[in-house]
Formats: sequence, C-alpha cells, structure tokens
Amino acid sequence: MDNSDFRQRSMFAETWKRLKKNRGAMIGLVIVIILFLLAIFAGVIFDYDTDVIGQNYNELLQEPSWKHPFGTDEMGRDLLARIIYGSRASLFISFAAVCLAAVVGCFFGAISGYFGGRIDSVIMRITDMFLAIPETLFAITLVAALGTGTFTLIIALAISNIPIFCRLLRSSVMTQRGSEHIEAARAIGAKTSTIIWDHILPNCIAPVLVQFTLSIAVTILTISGLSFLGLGVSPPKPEWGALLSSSRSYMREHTYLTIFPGLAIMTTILSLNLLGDGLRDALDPRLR
Amino acid sequence: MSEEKSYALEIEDLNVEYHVDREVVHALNGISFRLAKGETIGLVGETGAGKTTTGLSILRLIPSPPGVVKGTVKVRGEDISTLSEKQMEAIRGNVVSMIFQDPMTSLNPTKTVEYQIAEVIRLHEKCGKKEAAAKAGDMLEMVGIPRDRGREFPHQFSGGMKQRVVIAMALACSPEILIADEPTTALDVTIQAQVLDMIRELKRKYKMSMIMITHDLGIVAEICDTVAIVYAGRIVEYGTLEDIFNHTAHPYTAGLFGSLPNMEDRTQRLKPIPGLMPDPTNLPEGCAFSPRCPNASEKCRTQCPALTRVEGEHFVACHLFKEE
Amino acid sequence: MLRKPGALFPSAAGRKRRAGTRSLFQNGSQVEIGSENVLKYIGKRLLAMIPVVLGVTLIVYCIMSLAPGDPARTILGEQATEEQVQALRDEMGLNDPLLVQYVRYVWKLLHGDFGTSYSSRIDVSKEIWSRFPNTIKLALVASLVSVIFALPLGIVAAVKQNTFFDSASMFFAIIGISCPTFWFGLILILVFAVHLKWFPVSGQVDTLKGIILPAVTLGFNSMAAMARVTRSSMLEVIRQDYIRTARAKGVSNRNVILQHAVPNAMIPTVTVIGLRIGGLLAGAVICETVFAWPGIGRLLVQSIMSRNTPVVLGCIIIFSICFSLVNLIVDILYAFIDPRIKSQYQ
Repeated sequence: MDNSDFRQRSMFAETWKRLKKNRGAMIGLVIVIILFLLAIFAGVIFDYDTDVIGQNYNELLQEPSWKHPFGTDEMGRDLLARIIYGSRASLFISFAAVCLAAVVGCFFGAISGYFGGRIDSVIMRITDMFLAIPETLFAITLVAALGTGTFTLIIALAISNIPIFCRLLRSSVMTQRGSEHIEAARAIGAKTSTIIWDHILPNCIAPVLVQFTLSIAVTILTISGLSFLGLGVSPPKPEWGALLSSSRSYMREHTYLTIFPGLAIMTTILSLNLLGDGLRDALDPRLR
Repeated sequence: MSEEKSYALEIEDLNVEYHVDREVVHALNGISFRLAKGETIGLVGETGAGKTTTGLSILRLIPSPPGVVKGTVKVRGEDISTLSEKQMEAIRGNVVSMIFQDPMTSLNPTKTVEYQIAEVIRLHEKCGKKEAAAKAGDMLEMVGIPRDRGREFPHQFSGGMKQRVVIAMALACSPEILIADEPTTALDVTIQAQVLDMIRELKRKYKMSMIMITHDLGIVAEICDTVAIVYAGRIVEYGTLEDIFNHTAHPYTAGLFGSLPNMEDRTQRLKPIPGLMPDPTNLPEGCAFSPRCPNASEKCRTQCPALTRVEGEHFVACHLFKEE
Repeated sequence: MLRKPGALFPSAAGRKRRAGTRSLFQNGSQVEIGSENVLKYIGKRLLAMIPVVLGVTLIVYCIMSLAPGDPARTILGEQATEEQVQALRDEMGLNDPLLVQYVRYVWKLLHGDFGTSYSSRIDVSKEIWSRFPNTIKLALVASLVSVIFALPLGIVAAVKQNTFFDSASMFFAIIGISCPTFWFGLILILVFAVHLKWFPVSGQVDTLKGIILPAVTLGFNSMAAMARVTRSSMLEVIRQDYIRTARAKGVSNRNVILQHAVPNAMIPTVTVIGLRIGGLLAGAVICETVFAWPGIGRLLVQSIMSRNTPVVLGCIIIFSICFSLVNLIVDILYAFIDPRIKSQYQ
C-alpha cells in the first residue's frame, strides 16, 4: 500500500512538472484561477443591488470609459459588474452539474466496468439512450417541462453529462481489470471493494480529471446558449448568454454590449480548454 | 577502383544524433563497415545499441528535424546524401529494402495484403495495376501463402504469416541489399526457424547482400559471413564468423557468449553482463563499455579506444587487447 | 504478442471468410460479396437503433409529461367549466396511465402523426414537416463546410507539426471550440451584414447568400473540433510502423500521407465527425434563433415560450431521431474505412 501511495504521489508530481512546461496550460490555469477569485469576491468589488441590478437612468447605454470600463447597458447598469457577477451563475451551475454528473457517472461506470455481464449491458443501454439526445437538447427538454431555474438547469446538465463519465470510467476500469496488478491483488485475496477503491479508481483519476475540465467548458457554453434562448438564468440576474441576448436590440449602435460578454465566455472556455488539453498531454506524454 | 566496385554498401563514420528536449541522444557514434556483394553481415547488440538506426540510415529514413545524420553511406558506390528525394525513393524498396522488426504493426491495417505488395512493384517496375497484382500473387506463393489470400487484410493473418508478407514485400523488386531488422524476434520459436530458412533460401536465390540485425547469436552463426558487434552506437568488434566465435577479442562479445546457456553442460550457470547499456544522452567519456567491463582500467574510463586490427579482417576496439 | 486472443481470433475469422470468398470468386467480382455483407451490417445496426430511439422517445415523453398545466384547460381557456375540461381530457386520453398514453403516441408517430398543436390547433406534423427541410438544408451545408475545411487543415497541421502553420491553425481551432455559436453568429452579422453589407442580416432559405452566414456560424465550432481530432489522429498514425514500411518501399512523401496515413487517421476522425454533426443539430436550435431561420429549431424555442407541448415534443423527437440516424451512418462509414470492423459482422 505504501508503495502504491508513493507511486501516486510521484505520478502527480511528474504530471505537474510536465504541466508547468506547457505554456498554454499555465495561462489557462492562471485565468481560471483569476476567474474563480473574481466570482468569489465579486461582492467585495461591486454591490449587487446598486451596481448589478440597480437601474440608473442617468447613465443609459454609455460607451466604455474609466468609470465604466465595459460601458453601461440599456438600464444604465455597469457591464463589467454584470459580467463579473454573471461568472458566478455560469461557474456555480456548471461546477455543481459536472460534479454531480462525475460522481453519479463514475459510480455507475465503475460498477458496469467491474462487474460486466448483465449489469453492464443494462447500464450501457441506458447510457446509449441518454447519449442519443444531444446535451443542449436534453437541457431544453427539461427546462421546457419544468420551467427555467437554477435547480432545473443543474439537474438537466448533470443528467446529460452522466453518460460521458459513465462510459469513460467503464472503459478505464475494464482495461484496469484485465491488467496484471489487479490480477495480483485478487490473487492475494483482496476484497472487491478494496480492489476497486485502492487499485482501480486511483488509476482512473487522470482521464476523469481531463473530462471534468472539458465538461465544465462545454457546460458553460450550454448554459450561456440556453440563457441566450431565454431558457436559462432569467433576468434581471446577470448571465453571459442572457447579457448577449438583451444586447441584440442595441447591437448596431452599441457594439461593446455584444463584444464584452462574448469575450468573457470565450476567455473562460478557452482557458478551460487549454488547461484540459495541457492536462491530457501531461498525463499521457506519449501523445505529445 | 575495382576493389571499390565490388562493395554493395559502404558506410563510413556514420553518426546519428537525435535532438529532443534540449538533450542530445547519441544513437550512432561513428560506425563504419563495408558489405561485399552477396555477403551477409550480422549487426549484433542489445536493444538500443543503434542497430535499427543503422538500417534506417541506409534508407535515409531517419526522421529529421530530431535526427541529425553525419558521415557517408554509399550504395553501389554512390553517396546517398547527394541524391535527391526522388532518386532516394527509387532506391528504397528497389535497390535496398528492409524487413522491419514487428510484423504485427508493419502492415497497413486498411489495405489488402496484395495491394501492399503490388504497391512496391508498381512503384519500381513500370507496369500496370493488373500485372503488379499478378506479381504480388507470385510473391505470396513464393513465401508460402496461397495467392487468393492476398485480398485479405493484415488482421486476418497470424504473426508468422504477416512476417512472410513483409518479407514478400521486401523482396518483390529483387533488391541488391536486404536489411533484415530482427525478422524473427516477434515470432514463435517454431515459426522463427521457418522464416529464417526462407530468408536464407531466398537470399541464395536472388544473390542478395544482406544485413542481419539481431541480438541472437544463434541466428548469426547460421546466416552471417561477417559479424559486427555493436555497443552504444559503436562497432566494438568486427570480423568473420570464425573470428568472432572462436577468437573472441572484446570483453563485451565474450559477455554475450557468457549469457548464452551452454548446451553441453546444462548445470553451468549463466554469466550475465552486469549493469545496463549507458544512457545514450550521457555516454561515458572513455570506452562506453567500461562501466560494465570486469577488466576496465583507468585508461578505459578516460580514453575511447579505436578499432584496431587483430589479424586479417578481425578488428576490435579495446585497450585491453593492445596491452596483451 | 501472439498469445493474445485478439491476435488469434482474426485469423480464425479470416479462414471462415476465405471459404466464402473462394465460392464467390467463381461467380464474379468481390464487390458483390462485400455489399451483401455490408447490407447485413446495416440491417444489424438499424435493428440496434430501434430500442435506442424508443428509449429516447420514452424519456422525452415522460419528461414532457411533467410539464405543469392542463392541456385541456389550455385549449378551452379560462371560461370553460370543469365538466367541459374533464370531457376533453377523456377525449384526449389524458386520464389514461402515462405508459398507455406513450404507446398511443408512438403508434400515431409511426403513422407520421405528431398530434395536434394546442395553440393553433393545426396538425403538428404539418408544422414540423414544413420546416424540417430548412433545418436539414442548414445542417447539411454547415457539415459540408466544416468537413471541407477541417480535414485539410488537420492533415496539413499534422504533417507540418511544430511549424508556424501548425500552431496558427491549432490556435484558430481552439478559438473555434471555445467560441459560443450565438456570439460568433452575432459577430458575423455585425461585420459582414451590418458593416460590410455583403450578406443579409437574417438568414434566407432560398438564396446562397442567405445561407452562408448561418451555415458558417453553425459549422465553425464543429470544424474546429474536427480539425483538432484530424490532426491528433494523423500525428498518432504518422508514427506507426506501417508508415515507415511504406516509406521504405519508396512511396513518395505525398502518397505516404494521402494513401497510407489519411485512411487510417480517418477511423477515429469519423467518429468525431459523426458526433459533431449530431451536435450541430443541437446547435441549430441556437443558430436558427440568431438568424431567424425558419427551421424546427426556432419552432422548438417558440413552442417552449408558448407552452405548446405537442410541438415541443415533436421537435425534440425529430432531433433525436436525426441524431441517431447520423450515428448510424457513421457506424456504416466506419465499417467501410476499417476492415477490422467489417469482418466482425461476417
């Protein structure tokens, strides 16, 4: 056990070392951390009631200036404040959804991959069905049935992410199961739960971590898409997609209203993708 | 002049380096040998000694950027570094061809076996698709595969069969020089003998010169005329089969023989060579074998020995030998 | 290596096939034999698709039945009496168990009947089928655009690995997958429709000019993703032994790439292309809204807003069936590209 613990630690150290060499991934990581800090401490910088949802008819649709670096919207609200608060919605919902999906998906995936047989085929048929509905469409379905709301969104996005994690874990458990160190553990009489927890799961962390990062990115995109359609986070709560949606009427004269929220989404997704790519390369140096 | 012409292949001070991640891998460090027409030379050494790299250099297939090749390789007296890519393509598979180590991965999984053999023929002998396919069928039969199996894909063949296909492919244009890179390593023992027999038979039939790359001294004894023992990208001993087997001069060669089980005295213990091959990014200053050599002296650790003549065509690169 | 069952199995399969091949050789070309097997393969895949589609409709149907509000009440309006509402509920079969309703729905669906729209009382099928071709048109043009640009981009980037072209195109690609569809569409409208006036602001179904911006918007994301996968699978393939074998045979550089590397690199790429084209269908919902494109995506959004459940249900089911069909086509393509798959089904 000590030995495997040592191997784990050295694997992470090794991965970190390679990740540090990847400039793109490091830029991504830094931006992601900054975004998180901004989202967490948004309340310190801006006051929600006055800056974010408070209307100010003296400063309608102002171009970017020192006072309002990103300008103001049709109700005189500071766009920067709304974008920063908007990150809260995107990050919270996507994290909650993907975490939920990862836990549930990995659980079923591990069962499916380890036990195989009938359990496996039942679980796989169900995931097939869920995979046959594209993520955005599934979320739209749930939202159409249950109405908009943060909770509905989390559930919808979580469910549509479960099959990906389930498949992922299943296939890595299946490769693990056949490998020699598992055979060895079984040969010395280790319990099934011990084998799964101590020998199989640690080796599955890498692909799950990569998928987690990439799933967060896709989910943020989906959330903003839904909000753009008016099916996500509802106004006056700020959300990036919703900001873009309301900017459409002023797009011609007030381009900045369209550009900044879009840039915010793109920067976030870009840095998550860079980080995810970097992680994947660092974990699997063969693919460099 | 006339002497030079009788060689199919001349390699002079061949150096290959790979520049990866600010490190330099010294794969070959000054290899020289000549191969007479119809002769077979064995390149013997451990994994990573640079045997495959030598083979690839002869085809000018060292991937560069990472690879840097210095020295000259002359095929039929012509320095290949002066040839254009087009001229080189005309040599590959036609004048010089190579059998690669792992038949499992050496065939393209999406093409039929017949296509893959016919492709070489089409490229080098100006003939139509049908003619090439017919000739590919002949080649398959020659290596003992029914010709109608040519329409199948590599995954439908067993390992030994695939190696036969690879051999058929390499011989399709009757090359003058055949480089066989561990042609039997990936195969079962029983199939190894078959494949080896076939290679020897075909070599005699086509009067080819051959480079047999292997780590198996048994194969060398069966097939080769001359032997070059390669260690860490250098030839450490070179000579006829007789020289190497009966008048072993280099301690590494002796070590190789010591690692073989003795058929006469089965109770005798094996004498493995201690240690590992040196890291090719960080070769020792002196003789590359000195860290593992039982008789290494101070001189061995600081000075790299040159190949010196023992007697006739028998050469060795070892300080100990001179001192004797 | 040899002892792996996987290595032994194909040879057994090969023997079986050889017997078949020989008998077929006598009566003509091998193409016929191949197509017979492919038909069998397609049949198997089609059969396997049925439970998936049924499952999808069941999931969607159940979720949609959770929608609050009483359809009968919606149709009759607030003034109707409770008796009238109950009568209509009975007539519509809304009082039956959910599963019965579902079976009835599927039965009608098999006859091309999607039910009746609540708001307009028009046949939902008519509404859907009149808009369906527009969505298909958009999706087809978008997939075409993305594949045509993605494959060469990925292949050239891989061949010229670590050059400026490689980094530039991969930067472009990562921007592409990070860029929200609707934002990209808005920017395109701003630049090419509002400022340069090259294209109309909203999409036009019947003109080439009118479809370019929506198709590029919809395809951009997929193109980027496909280019990335093409590049990485090309890189993987290029270092394979059989590529070296091909070079050693004297095959020219160009042909090594085109004839040996690309077909193999296409195997993983096709999967992603399929997934992406499926994802494109979902993207159509957003893209159609941005460009006011009269397809089922826009219909879906409008119907959700007006709480017109039968139309929503119909649209989502149509999308899911299309998605499954795309996956089926990919599976079939797969068998054509990868001979190893085909022989599994013989």
